[in-house]
Amino acid sequence: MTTRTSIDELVLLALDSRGDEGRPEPALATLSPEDAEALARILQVTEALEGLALAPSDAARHRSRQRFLAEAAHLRPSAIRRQAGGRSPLLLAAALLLLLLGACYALSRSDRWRSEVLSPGARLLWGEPACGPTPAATPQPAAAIGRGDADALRDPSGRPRPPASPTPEAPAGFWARLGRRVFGTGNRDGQGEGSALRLALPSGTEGTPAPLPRGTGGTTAPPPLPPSGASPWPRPSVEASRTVPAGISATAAPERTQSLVPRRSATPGPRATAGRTPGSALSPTPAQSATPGPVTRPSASPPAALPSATRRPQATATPPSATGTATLPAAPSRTASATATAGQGGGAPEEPSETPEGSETPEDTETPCPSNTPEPTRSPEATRTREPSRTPEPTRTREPTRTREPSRTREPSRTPRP
Amino acid sequence: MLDEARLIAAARRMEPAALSAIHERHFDAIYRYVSFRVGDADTAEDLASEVFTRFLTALRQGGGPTETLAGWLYGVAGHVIKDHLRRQYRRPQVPLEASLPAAEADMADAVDQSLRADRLREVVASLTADQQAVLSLRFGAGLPIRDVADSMGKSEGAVKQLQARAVAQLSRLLRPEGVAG
Repeated sequence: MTTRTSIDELVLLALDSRGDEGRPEPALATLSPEDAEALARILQVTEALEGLALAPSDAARHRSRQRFLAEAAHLRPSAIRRQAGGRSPLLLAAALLLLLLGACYALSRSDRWRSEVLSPGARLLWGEPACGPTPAATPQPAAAIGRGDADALRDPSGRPRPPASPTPEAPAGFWARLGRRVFGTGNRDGQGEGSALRLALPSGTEGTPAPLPRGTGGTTAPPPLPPSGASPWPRPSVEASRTVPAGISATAAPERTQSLVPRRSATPGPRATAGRTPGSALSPTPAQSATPGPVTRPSASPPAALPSATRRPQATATPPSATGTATLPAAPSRTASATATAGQGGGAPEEPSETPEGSETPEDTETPCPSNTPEPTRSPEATRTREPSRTPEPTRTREPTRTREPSRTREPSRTPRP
Repeated sequence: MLDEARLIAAARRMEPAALSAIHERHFDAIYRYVSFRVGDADTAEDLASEVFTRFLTALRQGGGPTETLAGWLYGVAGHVIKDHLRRQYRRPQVPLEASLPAAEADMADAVDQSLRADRLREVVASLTADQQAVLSLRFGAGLPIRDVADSMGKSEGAVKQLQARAVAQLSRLLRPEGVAG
């Protein structure tokens, strides 16, 4: 009797001999009769196993093939779509990459390029108003404006010029903060206050150098008065309207004129009132109430601005001595120049390189210093006073004017310059 | 191998020529492999067709064979057979014999042979899965030891051992009944 392992070995031999076209394995010939009987049974089993499998008929083969190809034809359009869609992730990734690169480029240009890297002359070339912390204040040669070198931003003495502080009353770091708001957080956050402040910024920052004093005072100290007759204070309204670059859209120009003109027409009202002469608000002076009307809001002020017209005479009713004698006489002359320059800026903006130095000096000589000193402080606040004047409710508009005016009325008292 | 790779690539594009070639090359073996386990011709035809339908579905979903097409098809056929046997275990069906012999004497032999075949399948079903797979591929599809080893991912020696032990187990189980004899 053979053991199980020996039978398995015999089966292996027998099965291997099957592959040799029926030739018997030599080892099988030497088996004992019992082993040969067991092996014979195993070989019968293998034959029975071979008989278990069925051969397919031609009909079955044909049917299966038709079914298979029909299924493939049904799936073919989806396979084509899938192959075409297999490229779309690559395209999508490439598009996202390009978008990311573009965003990075735009971000670098908006922040770094504007606020840190670009010089005022270069900002002009980029069509950006070089306002805020830009130190361009003194009249520069035309070549230096276009060049935007660091040397051009220095004093003749070699010291770097401090940032322009157009108002001596401006608090410390005001323009620096303003510039940060305009170019930093204002643009990053997507808020519109940056652009609004930029419109109200004083001149000299548009690239055309404003005649600022060469004093060494930083942002905190007020710059000393120039020895010559040229006024050191920038002209926000005139130059802002004058130096509108060609790239600025048409909507920007009217906003500037609006923000500039009310400074002269509407602001005298709230300034003069300041809670000093509340009773005089009832008796408007026709002469002055007429002047701000056509000049200030020709088109932008809707009929809702009528209550503000009743308020304006408040300013006019106050005696000129209360507000400062120098401010009121200077107003008509400036309004005339402002309207003239607004037409220039909106119609044909000048090239930055073409603006000569002497073109600004006459304006500086026109206006006396004391009258100009409150002007830059008014420029950011004029936008505030405009809003209450537009509102038709007189109760709402009176309150903000009263609260803000003490700061303005102080301005002439602070500047006792001749 | 390169030809089969091209064939598979063309099949992924659902090219009819490639698909027809694949069906022509592998259908008979798959059919025999399935019929070895199920025993019924119609069921074997349906299951073999199901194997090729799953092949198309896998191609559509980005899957399908990566190395050998035959091994992938036999693997799918094994799953199809298991699913069929599971369904059949829940709802037993008795197939009608389509080709009954005309003569009564032949009928007796045919019935006897059919009963023996059924008994043999039952015994084969009692073997381990690897042993069943080896027997199905070796005796059903008629593949040589090397192809069986490639399809199962085993060495040729392991396939030989599985085959020998499976046949010896069958002979021991079938000895009192004399199925094999």
